[in-house]
Amino acid sequence: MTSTTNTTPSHWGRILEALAWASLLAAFIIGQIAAQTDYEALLQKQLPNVELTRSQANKDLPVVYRMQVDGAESPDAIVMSEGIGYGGPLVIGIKARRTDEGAKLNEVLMLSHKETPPFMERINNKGFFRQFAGKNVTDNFIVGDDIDAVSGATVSSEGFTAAIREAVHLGAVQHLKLPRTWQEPGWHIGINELILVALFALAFFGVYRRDRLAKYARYVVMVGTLVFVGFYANASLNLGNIAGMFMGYIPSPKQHPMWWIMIIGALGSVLILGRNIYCHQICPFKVVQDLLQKLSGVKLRIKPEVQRKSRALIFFLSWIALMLIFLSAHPALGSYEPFAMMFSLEGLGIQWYILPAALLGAMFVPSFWCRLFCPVGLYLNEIVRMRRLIRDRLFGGSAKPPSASGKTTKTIKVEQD
Amino acid sequence: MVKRNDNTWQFKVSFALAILMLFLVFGYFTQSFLEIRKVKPVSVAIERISGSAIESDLTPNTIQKNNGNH
Repeated sequence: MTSTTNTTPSHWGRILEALAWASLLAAFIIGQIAAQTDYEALLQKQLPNVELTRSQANKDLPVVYRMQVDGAESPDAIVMSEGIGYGGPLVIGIKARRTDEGAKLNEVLMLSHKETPPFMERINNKGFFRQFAGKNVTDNFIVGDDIDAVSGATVSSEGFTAAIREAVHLGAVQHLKLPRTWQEPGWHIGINELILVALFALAFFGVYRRDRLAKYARYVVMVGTLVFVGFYANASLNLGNIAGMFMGYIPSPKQHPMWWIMIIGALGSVLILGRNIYCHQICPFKVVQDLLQKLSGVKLRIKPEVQRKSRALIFFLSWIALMLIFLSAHPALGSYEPFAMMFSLEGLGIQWYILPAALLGAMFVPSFWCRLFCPVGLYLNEIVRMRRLIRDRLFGGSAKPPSASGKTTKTIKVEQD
Repeated sequence: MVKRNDNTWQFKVSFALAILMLFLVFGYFTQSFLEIRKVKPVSVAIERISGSAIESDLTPNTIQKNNGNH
């Protein structure tokens, strides 16, 4: 993987490539085994002074634990639940008890999650989980209905609510034999999803037309993607999204339709049309870089040798990132892109220095991040390249490999000159 | 000649920026690696694999056989 070049890889290159793939596979398997959920261990970590026993009366799902505090039986039971948040899988324990007014939730325990720490901090600080206390198990548990999402962490809020809802309602049916009186969540197709679809449609229009209208369309997409995809939704594609897909961290289309639109739009354009629409038009960080470039007016050239080697460098960086992600089963731990910091101003430790460095680079070098460091751009371009190779094999012709910047080799050459 | 010098200067600055960025990205990887070390995924996985191997060795048949031998 690290040594794939436009030319045939050397003997050592092939060995390195095989080792890279083998190590990624090993990291993936180790990470998946290590990430297997041990409910009791997770609960014991949060409730060290409590004696837990799995309820024998409720053997059906969801798993229920009874608690003993100082030798006395607690009226609360813990209902276990798993779901998918923005960063990956999550495990929740829901303390519930029977009262005269029906079974009610008492407390929500966040036992394990893969969310980016600053987002999780925001959710906790806003008291998101406190709103579940006192709710009846037959309530709807729907964001926007009886649950309020935390702004800027909507997907995580949806994920946590879905996990709680599913476990609580399943418990209500299986264990308490209650009738289904609650409302089922519907599709979340709203104005946000329509805007994203419209942006993709305009981007396609801008790419395939060369008239004045197409030029306006490109401006609209540029502003729209910066404001909407960037600052409003913070929905840029990153390495974590791609790695998460391999690990099965795929949100349901009902829960997070924007994720699906983004993936279908980005992958669909490269697979079906052979054009990397995402990098050129939709990526908000590209717009930021272009604006900085316009502001500074400085266009430093990159040594052609460095530009050529950037592809191998990005593969190497993404190999390290994927190793970290697969080992930890935590996408946020390997995504080295500065997008989240740029658009939500959330970051941890050294992440804060990556953003200003990337912006500084973009001021002086056109598409600095895209050309030298962006793994998403490289992967999408690789798909375009492979698509061309397959097409040319089938129908004849010559395949020109695109550069890592998301531009064809020819365009880069013009830029360099 | 002037153009070549100009290019060299540009190459040097862009290369320095790239190296700075690379340095920070590796810093981020180190930070993540230290986080992962706290969880010890490799040790956990080995424990779980060896744990399940021991469990599968102690199937009822094996237990019966062992009891019989004693």
